[in-house]
Amino acid sequence: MTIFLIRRLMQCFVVLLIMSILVFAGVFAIGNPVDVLINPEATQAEKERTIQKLGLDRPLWEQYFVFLKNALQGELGNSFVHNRPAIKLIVERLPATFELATCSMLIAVLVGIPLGIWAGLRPSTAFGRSIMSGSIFCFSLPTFWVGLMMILIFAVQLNWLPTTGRGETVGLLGISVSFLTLNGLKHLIMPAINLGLYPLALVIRLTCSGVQETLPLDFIKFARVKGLKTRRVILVHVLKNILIPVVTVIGLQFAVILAFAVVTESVFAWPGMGKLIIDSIILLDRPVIVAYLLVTVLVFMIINLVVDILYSVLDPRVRLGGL
Amino acid sequence: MASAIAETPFHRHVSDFMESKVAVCSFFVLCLVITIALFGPWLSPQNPYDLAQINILDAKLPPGSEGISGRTYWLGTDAQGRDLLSAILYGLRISLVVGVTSGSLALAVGALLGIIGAQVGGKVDALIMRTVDLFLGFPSFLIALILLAVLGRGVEKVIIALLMSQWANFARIARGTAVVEREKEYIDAVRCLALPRRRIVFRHLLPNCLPPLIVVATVNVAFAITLEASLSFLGVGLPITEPSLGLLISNGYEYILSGKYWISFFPGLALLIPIASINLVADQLRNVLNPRLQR
Amino acid sequence: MSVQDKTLVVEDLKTYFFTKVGTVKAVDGVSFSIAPGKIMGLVGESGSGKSVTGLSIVALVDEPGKVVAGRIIFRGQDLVGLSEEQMRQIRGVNISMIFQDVMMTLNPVLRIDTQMIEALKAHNKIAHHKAVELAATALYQVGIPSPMERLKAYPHQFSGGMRQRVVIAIAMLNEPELIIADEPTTALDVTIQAQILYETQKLCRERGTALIWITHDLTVIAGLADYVCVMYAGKIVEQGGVNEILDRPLHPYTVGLIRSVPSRHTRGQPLYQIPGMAPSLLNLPPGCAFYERCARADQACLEEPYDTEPVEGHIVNCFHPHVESYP
Repeated sequence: MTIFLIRRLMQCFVVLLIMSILVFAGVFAIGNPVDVLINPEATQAEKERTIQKLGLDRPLWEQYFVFLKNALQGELGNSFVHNRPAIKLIVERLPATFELATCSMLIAVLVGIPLGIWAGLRPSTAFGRSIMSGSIFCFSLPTFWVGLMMILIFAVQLNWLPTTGRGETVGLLGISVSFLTLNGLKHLIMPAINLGLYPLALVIRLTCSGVQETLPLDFIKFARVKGLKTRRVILVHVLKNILIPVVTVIGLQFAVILAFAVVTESVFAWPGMGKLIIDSIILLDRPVIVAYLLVTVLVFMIINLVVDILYSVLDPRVRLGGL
Repeated sequence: MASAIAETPFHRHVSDFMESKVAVCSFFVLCLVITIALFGPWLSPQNPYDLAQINILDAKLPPGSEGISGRTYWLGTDAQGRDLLSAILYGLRISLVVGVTSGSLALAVGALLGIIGAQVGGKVDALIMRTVDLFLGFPSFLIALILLAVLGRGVEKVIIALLMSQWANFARIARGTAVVEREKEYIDAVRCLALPRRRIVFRHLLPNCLPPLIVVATVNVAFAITLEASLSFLGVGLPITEPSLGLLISNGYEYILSGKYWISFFPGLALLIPIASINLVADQLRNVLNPRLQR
Repeated sequence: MSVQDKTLVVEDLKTYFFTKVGTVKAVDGVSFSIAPGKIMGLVGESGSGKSVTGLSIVALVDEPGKVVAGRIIFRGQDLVGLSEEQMRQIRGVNISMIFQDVMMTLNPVLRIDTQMIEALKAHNKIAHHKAVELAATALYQVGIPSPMERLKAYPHQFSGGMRQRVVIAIAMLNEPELIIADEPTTALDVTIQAQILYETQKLCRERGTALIWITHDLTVIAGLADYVCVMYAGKIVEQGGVNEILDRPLHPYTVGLIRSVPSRHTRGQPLYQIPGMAPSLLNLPPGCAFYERCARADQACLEEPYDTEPVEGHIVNCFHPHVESYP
């Protein structure tokens, strides 16, 4: 198990290194790095100072190491627009995006798994079939359009929920979260459902096909022949088998919706990383783009690592060296 | 009892496919949508991008209303007075063309690389697969977004971005299937005939790797359309000169709050219909082509 | 012995599968009985319907299959038509079943003790530690060393033979009156197979458990069973005491089966095979299903044969049994 961990960590480092080279190449190979990292409106003296500090006057490979050193210290240049360190901006916005993504994932899992099990057990009933068609419909829906329609119906026409923005936040272990206040919840619910529709559809289909693939297997027959109650057969024998791939997919989907949150955040004006990156792309605020990229790569690496570890913990065949 | 007519696999697939009424319906809807999109410019009552044909006084009219010149705007007008129906027809075309092109290119590039890797093996295979792993570690949306941030706006750039975000999936599946097929006896038989490698790959290996790829390709085209629409909505996708449905929807964003829903609603519906049909068709295709479910 | 005293009496059981391409008559009028503590061998090739017979008894035939006719009288009670809940209470307690594929019979992601204790708890109100004790004892009885440790293991940590022993242990946990074993040793080494056969036989004799052993291997039956039923194309073509069947087979199919077994007496001669192939159960010819492959068949065989009893206790379903071979 430890060897496995060490090997995965090494792989992580390698990928991070490759990503840093790619980002470096992307930033410096495309256009003048001076333009990328230094505000074009800075005075000549400021420009020179920054060039010195970021080592832009040294040979390319030296520049890479300066870049790396700076990156590790969190120094990636100041945002052109906000004139503050880019990294700080991204990190400030991280909790909001995480909160949104976590809530969406929770909705997807808590609603999706029961529905998927039902559809898998009774695929030929009207309800079962409508769950499956409904799930296909769900992930065909363009997220941003659904978001707009939700605002239209629930906020504008019915006036039940606020239109955009994040609600009141309170501090929880040093991070500001908004799901602990009623006002926060009201603001959270529409974007969370909006972002959660796609993973919901995926979880339903995955659970359903998992159930359908597991039911005919011999050990299920054996469980029934033992005289176990059907409820136990489904909830223990079937579920534990399908949970392993489902958990893996859910973990990877979390990374996907962290990225896709960009869309929901734009529609609902949710103050997270996503909105920041879109604005930065449009305004050509390159340090923020670079910072976003590196932070995102790091987060995805961590998520992939956690998923791998989780998988090996859950599947006893992997954990105890059977496979 | 057993049929006396010899059935080709194709016939069998088609009759299996027709077992799902939903899928057959979706297929016809899809064909309808594609036809409408192809003939869009000739079908639409107005060219919404010809400034001479639009009238700013007709702006923001609800669906079904009559304009200044006596023309009926079936789906209403947008902020510039453009007929929404026409704008949708033009936009549908662009959205579908971009989606299908990038999906097909991703399929071609990915499948080719995957099969080459499987067939050649060794360092080439390792290199291709490590690159695939790298790409697959990141959500396609992010890859497309960052590429567009670097490349800027433009149709070719969007197609390239979509291609890069999707090829890896095809490569992985193609390679996996090719590796399995490669071990099968008919490949040995063909190799014994000393056919050139290229012929083995194209004439024998490729057709047998196609079924899983076709299913994934169909779903991916739907995904490419959604991806492009999302990117255009956010303002980083297609430029204003190629107004896809995503752009139309984003144009209507600011009018949601004042209740002028139709500017965003109808383009979204026009986007939803082809995507949903493709997905429903792909789902049934998957059931039909899945060897594990063969009866 | 009257019907009441027998553990299981099956009367004219018919299980059909209603598929899109036609009706498969997997079990087509099967009748047999088995007394307490006796071992019955159900012999036949793949597709003869022997597994489906076993599954029909415990009502676990999957869609699109259904028991369409017949009676399955277990200790005086007809199982056909019982509700699912009533069957559930019988399964695992009165009737147990073990399957062929040793790899897949045990759930790979659950521990052995979980899978054993749930079999106990499903039918008895029993304290957890007591259940653990019973499970460990059961493992010990099937010959698994250090049972308390092995309980905490997962199925993949056992070898094939050990796994099958665990399965047998589970089957015997609630001391059933009848065990149905569906080719449980086919996938194992011959030496392991011999061990398991011996131990199963011993356990059944000790506890008075009736055993139906389903197999395609005649040699297994020779050493194990008291009574043999030979199945072909969904019907029992011959049944009787094991020595009677093996020494004086009457049905041409049984004769062919026995002759197919290579022995050292026939060394150097070409191996015997029954000519032709078993018919598709979708498209059974009229009359005797063995007609195409039988050297003794004639016009009479185009009618359905019926059971006759040329020797007491030895029933055969044929118009031309080999009675003349044995004066």
